Amino acid sequence: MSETLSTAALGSVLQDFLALSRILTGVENLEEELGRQYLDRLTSTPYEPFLRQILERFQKMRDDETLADRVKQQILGEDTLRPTVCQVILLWYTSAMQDNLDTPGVLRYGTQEEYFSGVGWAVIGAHAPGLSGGYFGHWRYRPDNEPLEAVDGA
Amino acid sequence: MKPSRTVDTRTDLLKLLCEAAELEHGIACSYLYAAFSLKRDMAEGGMTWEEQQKVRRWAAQIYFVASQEMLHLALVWNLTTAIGGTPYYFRPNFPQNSKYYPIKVPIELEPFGPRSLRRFILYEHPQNIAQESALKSLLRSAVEDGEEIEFGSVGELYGLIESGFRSIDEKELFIGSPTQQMTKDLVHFPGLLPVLDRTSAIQAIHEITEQGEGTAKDREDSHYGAFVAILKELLDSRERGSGFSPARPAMQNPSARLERGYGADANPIGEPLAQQVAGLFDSVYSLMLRMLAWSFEFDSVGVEEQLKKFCSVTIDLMPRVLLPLGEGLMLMPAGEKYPGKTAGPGFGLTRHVMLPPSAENARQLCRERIKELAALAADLVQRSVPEPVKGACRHLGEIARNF
Amino acid sequence: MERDYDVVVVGAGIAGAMAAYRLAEAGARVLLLEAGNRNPSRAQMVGSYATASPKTLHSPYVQVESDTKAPSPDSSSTYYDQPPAPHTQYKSTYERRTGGSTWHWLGHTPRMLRSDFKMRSQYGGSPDFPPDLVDWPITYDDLEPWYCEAEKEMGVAGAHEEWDGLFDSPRSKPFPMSMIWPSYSDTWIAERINGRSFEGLEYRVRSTPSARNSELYDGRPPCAGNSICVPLCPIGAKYDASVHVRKATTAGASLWEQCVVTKLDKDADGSVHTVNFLTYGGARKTVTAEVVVVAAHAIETPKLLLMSGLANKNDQVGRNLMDHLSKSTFGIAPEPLFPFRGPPSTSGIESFRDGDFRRVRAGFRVSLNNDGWSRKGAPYTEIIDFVTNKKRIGADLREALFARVTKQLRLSCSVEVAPDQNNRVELSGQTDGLGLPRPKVTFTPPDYSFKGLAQATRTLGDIFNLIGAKEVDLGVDNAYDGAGHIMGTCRMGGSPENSVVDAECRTHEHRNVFILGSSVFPTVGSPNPTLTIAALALRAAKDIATQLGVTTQRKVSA
Repeated sequence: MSETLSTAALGSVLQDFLALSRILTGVENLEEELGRQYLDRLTSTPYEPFLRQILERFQKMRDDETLADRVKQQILGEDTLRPTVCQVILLWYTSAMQDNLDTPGVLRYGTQEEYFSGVGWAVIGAHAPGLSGGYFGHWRYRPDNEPLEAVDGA
Repeated sequence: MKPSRTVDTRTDLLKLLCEAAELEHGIACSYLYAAFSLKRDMAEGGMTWEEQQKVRRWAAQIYFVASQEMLHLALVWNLTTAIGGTPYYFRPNFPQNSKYYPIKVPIELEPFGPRSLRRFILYEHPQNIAQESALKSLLRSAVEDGEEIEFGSVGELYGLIESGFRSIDEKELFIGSPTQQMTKDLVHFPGLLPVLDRTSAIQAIHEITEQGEGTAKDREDSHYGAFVAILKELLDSRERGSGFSPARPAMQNPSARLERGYGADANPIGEPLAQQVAGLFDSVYSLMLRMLAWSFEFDSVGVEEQLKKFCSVTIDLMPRVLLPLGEGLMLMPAGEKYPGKTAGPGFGLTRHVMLPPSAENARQLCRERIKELAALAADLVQRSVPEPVKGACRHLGEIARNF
Repeated sequence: MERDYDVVVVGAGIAGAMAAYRLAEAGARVLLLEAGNRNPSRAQMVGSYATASPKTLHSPYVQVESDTKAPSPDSSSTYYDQPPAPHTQYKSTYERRTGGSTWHWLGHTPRMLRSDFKMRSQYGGSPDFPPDLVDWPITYDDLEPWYCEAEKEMGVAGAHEEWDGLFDSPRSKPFPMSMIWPSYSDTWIAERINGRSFEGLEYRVRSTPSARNSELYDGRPPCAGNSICVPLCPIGAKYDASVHVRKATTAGASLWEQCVVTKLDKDADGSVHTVNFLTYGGARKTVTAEVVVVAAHAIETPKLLLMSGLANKNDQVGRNLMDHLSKSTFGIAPEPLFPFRGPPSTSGIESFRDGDFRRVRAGFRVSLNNDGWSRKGAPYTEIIDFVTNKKRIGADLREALFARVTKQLRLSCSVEVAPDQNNRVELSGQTDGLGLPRPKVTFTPPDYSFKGLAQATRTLGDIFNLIGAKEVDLGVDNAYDGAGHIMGTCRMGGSPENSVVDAECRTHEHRNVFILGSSVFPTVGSPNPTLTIAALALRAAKDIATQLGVTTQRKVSA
């Protein structure tokens, strides 16, 4: 296998990336095409070697029963890998990339498709800014997509 | 346009108002069904990001028009109680026989598309439209079946109603109690006018027709204008690109269960979980209707605050429970009999318990019923239903707890 | 003598476009000259916004050529020539595009209050009262019918009962549309503060009147909660002046874009009929008019007058530059309020705008906002913090994000800036992409306003306290943002000694030159200025038409 994530290897790498992303984001339905695009974006940045490391580790633990816990300990828990974990989540949630960890406010977006497909907005019961939230007046009510786990009044 | 006959008795006028109530109600359901069917996310397929912007805007506009139809129903109810009648909330189940109303265009539950938009335009079209031939050609380009387009609109019905209010003696006619009238202070319908006399009755009727068909000077802000614009945009988008598919493949005229009251031509949902969700929809919808109609009949003198609270629960059920249930149903499979199709709400009005006149007892019955439905919802939430359905069930639970 | 046009309007923003529309409808030959470009389609602008970082006011509108040849502080952070920090800064910006700054305005349309028009008569006399704080030469009653006209032209949604008679400022007509519904957050806050008071003034949350459709209006859809009113409404539910630019051209007005007016020439008798402008290619052109309307917003307008040596016998042009001091404060509510939905602000508190305290300090408006801590970088910063520092992923992360971000609240204030003749716009020695002088801006908010800002901050702190908020951040004392409300600089007045235009917006010195827009405001109160701009423009259009001998009665349609 080549040093970088070549297109030839992309097939299974993509599936690993998607499986990992589901665990990291906590969102089940992640689009494969988006995953391909985010993988592409990551592999052309300094995150690439860290991502490769993460995917290698993930591949080894994929069949483990306690997969989520192992991801937490051995990938998230690793200081050198955590920024990349964060970047993966940030991409899925908002389509934004942090090029420089020292300037967290400075972000870079990809395509409009990616921006409007961000899954993080639903997590907070909202929508990607710029996309219609729904019918006139819907902001008067609690959101439809308010997560179940939230306890009333908490 | 002069009305086709005279309306000079209360009975006649009340019957026409019942017909108007049925129509506004049925049309609102038809609009809601189309709005529910519009996709929200690109992940659903068939939309670029630019198309998604358009589709979301169309959905918002159709919801808006539906909300005005509900306002029209509310105004019709005020007109009804003002002359001594009772708010009428019944309507035939879907699909409705096209000969049932003079409007000649059947009211159906059908997903968004050129066919449904064509129907919507015909429901709302103005009585004397200068560009009739232009309209006909737009409508023809909307469908390929070469079906002959016959007019006969809701506007004519209101023309008759207005003539009734004008010709029958005012003092004899307005026998309803003014404190029965609902206003926007009591129930959240911005634009709701109380009907107390001939002048306010005619004002209410004009509000309905102006919102629906517009005026000669201003068509584009009417429902008619909005649908024409959307249809044009849709046909334009289709011409430009292939693969644009704005609507979920929802079935037509679904029914939650094949029971008395559902039309024989309705399509029963085959998939059990979807059927259950559709059943919950019907139950909440039916309860909400009863509560609303009851509020409009109730004489609120001295108990306005309680009525306000009761109404706010009722109104809340629409955006927080019915809307997400309806949208969610269109993400669920319809059943083996309907390959490639998703389910949908049937808006089934079947046998139900009517609410008693006593406020205390009505509240008690509603409270109990909402709690029963919330318990059903709490069970559904555990199953593999789409997110909007879960949200609806959660909201129903919260409403039940706070009632 | 036959002029090229009856009216040349410099600037196709809201003031210019509305006047051009009314005058063209009346049969006048009108030319609208706009320095900037027109914008691409709304869809394209949404696309630019979506991929922009940071998502600035200018992000949907970036056009390199226009940004170079007709720059603005929106397109260039160094456009103003002003002394650097620690000197107080003038922070509000504007666009130079067809349609102007209404492209990115929030859309709020409260009116000025009765007192705002007669500050000196009503509140003057104490040593704390700013010497340059004067009366308008017109009253609220004079403008009231034009407020109604403006609301109809723009399409304003509001709650009549909440606003009629507020601070002795009645409404003679209902709003054209019923109100924009308050957000869940607004209602939650109102339940907890309505009826309570702070230092003698009672809290009452009111829905904010807005030029934002609550129904189908003027061929535009109702608001669908796209939530990015600032900087762009993707669907046109929020009014922007492209509406009246289109109406003006449909009524027969000509529109020339990419035409930067450089000088207005004065004839021997003091009248001004020649308008000189540059195209982006550098070609020098001229056009003549019976009447000239300068509506280039409150920085470019005085700049043009100064470049032309007009209307400035008494050295008033460019003076009394004002803004509203804006401050955002942040807190975390005890329950989810669900920001990032609906328009960025749907309600406010008007109680602090007027009262006897204006003898010694400024009044202010309070806005309840629906944009959470977006100005602090949420939700991005929160995502990064939770993952990187708190090591949360998956369902854990979702829960944590929900629990925190949905409770984040921003409250803000908009404080009246009193006029100070030393706050001014002059011509800089530095030039722009066409070789024209950039504006030299000097601005220090008066103490009167800083006192108002301090009071506003304490009030916002009290509100956070009443709702049980945590992590309250009231910012730094005396720190302020620009509200985007550029006002003053060519003020209206009865006397040429201390004003530039008369009560009809006509310059004292040149009877055929009118100035429209917020330049003419002698005082600013605390409301967003756009509705007042529109009302004055419609009123002035009638006076201009009279002066020209045409009528502003609408042409009877077939």
